[in-house]
Amino acid sequence: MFEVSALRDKIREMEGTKVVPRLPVHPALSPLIGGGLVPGGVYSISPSFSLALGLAVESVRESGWCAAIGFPHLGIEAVQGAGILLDRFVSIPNPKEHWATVVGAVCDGFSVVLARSPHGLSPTSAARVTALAHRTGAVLVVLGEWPGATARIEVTSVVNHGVGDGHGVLSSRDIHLRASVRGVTKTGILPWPLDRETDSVPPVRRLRVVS
Amino acid sequence: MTRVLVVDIPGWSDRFEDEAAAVRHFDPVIVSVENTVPLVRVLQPGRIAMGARGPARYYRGEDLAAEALRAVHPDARIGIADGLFTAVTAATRANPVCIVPVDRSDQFLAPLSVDRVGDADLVGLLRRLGITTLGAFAALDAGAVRDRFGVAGELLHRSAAGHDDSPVIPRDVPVDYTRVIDCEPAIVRADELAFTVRAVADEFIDTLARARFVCTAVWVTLSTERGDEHERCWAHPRSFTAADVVDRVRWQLDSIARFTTDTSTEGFAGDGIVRVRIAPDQLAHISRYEPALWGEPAGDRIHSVLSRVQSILGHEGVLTATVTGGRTLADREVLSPWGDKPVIERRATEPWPGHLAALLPTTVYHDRPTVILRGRAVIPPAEVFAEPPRVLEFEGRTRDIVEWSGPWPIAERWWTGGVLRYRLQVIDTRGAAWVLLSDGDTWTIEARYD
Repeated sequence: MFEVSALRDKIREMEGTKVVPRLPVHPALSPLIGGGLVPGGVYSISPSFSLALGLAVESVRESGWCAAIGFPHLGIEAVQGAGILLDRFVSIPNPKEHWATVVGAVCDGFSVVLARSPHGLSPTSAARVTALAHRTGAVLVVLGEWPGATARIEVTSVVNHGVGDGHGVLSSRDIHLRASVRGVTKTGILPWPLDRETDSVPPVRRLRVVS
Repeated sequence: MTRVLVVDIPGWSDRFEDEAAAVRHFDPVIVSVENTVPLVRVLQPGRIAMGARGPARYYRGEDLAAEALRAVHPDARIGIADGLFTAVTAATRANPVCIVPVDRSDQFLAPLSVDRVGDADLVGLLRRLGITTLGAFAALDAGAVRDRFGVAGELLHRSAAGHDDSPVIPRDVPVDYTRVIDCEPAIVRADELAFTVRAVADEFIDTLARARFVCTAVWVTLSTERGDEHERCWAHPRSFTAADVVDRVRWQLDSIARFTTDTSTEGFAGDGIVRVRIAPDQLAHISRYEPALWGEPAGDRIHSVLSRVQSILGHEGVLTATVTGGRTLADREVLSPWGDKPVIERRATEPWPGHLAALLPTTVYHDRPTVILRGRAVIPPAEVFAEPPRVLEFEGRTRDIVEWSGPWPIAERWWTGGVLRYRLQVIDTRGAAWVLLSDGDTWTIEARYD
């Protein structure tokens, strides 16, 4: 199955045609990943659920279902606040040893699947899931490493606004990102909450680099 | 197959100004027919159905029974056939009597127009597919029809093939759809129980379908050797299939097993199931249920996917979420298994002083793991820390705190002796933001921004 989809990709590349239109994504992320999400693509990202929501929200705003797999401590209000309709959202908090089966099943019917990558997933299982996403057209966002991902996005640093030394309240966050798509690296900033303009935030006070 | 007799008076409704009048004037006709044949069922004003066996025996033949009825109503057309659908079709084509012999329904129906299934949406679609006769519709694979058109489509498909076996019972006769399975010897294992229940579940759903009902909620009662009864009502977002019923029985046994091994000394092994009772809680007439089955093909797909995942992970494995009222972030989330109605105790619209509204965290801990917050004098009750928190220890990792805010008190029914809690936001050197909660002794993690 994997070979077939790889071959299909190759043919598509050789024909030089983009058959499938891309799905809309948050404007801050759009330039980083070539204008939108590729249906059937797998996106490997840092373990940031804000980033996962940023990738998902636009493509399921009007229609389509979104699933979160492997997040036992999901902030439901944040999911709703990001703009995802809870009527078309399900959480499968603990897929246990059935991760690949469950993710594969959910790809058949859901538009966007957010999944925390399990420890010790075999490359064969990963390839099978990749092929399934490709065949069904579901966008799979994996929080963790993924072999042969369509794009990789990592969080390089986060700037928090509003909290001082013992006063204030956290009001917004700037999530600094580095994305690589087929060897091309770009950087950008995703605002949290997602509906905030990054331009209108107060000037950056401190920037901390993650290890 | 039940022999059914249908009396049809053509153009009955056209004789009256409105439907109410048509119904009113039809009453004497029903009474006059009931004088000849008891237990009739009114299909619509001008059309009555009844079991054919009784009148045929009484009048010594189906043809003679038809004549007897025509003597009462000379303008009536009479159809006699296997099953209601075929009998109605026969009556509308009768001149003045049409009797379809036993087991000949399919041959009688096959050349007729597919319009007769009576469902405009289905007929339109079938015609676009090039299917114009009942015979061609009947030739479609039953499984494929069910997948595409749902239970209602499947029933029409069965009718078109001459297999409509919905009973002709007067509406006011109550029917008990409850099924009881006695297990001898007692059953302990879930798979064994599922196997035992399967056939009865098939028959249960099938009986409902023949009466043109779908079941949207079902009571499952498991009785144990000790004499305990575990009763639970299971709802379904659409309607139960036999396999769904079996799943619910299995899940219920699983949950009892979990509960029992958690609390009792001898475990579940000594306490097998001796009786299973399945009873419908909510029934919907299939015609009322049709729009839901028709309107959302995507919904069907989602449902079948999630049902599959539930059969792997259990009922609680797939959750839907609702936001409700409450002061702590975890209180404001209601997660319920796919298929169950969420139980909402607190309304989100009421004011909830003390709830964190500013910026919503993406991770919320329901179990609230304890953390160690170092610094000095950081344990409330204290509105202000004597010395700022410096270090956060969680899951064996130490994080240096660079910014913090709070603690703010959250009063929870303090006037009735409720606890006073405090909330604190801290940001570590990696930019991760944490929301901490304390009841006055220890700090726990309420949520985290990631």
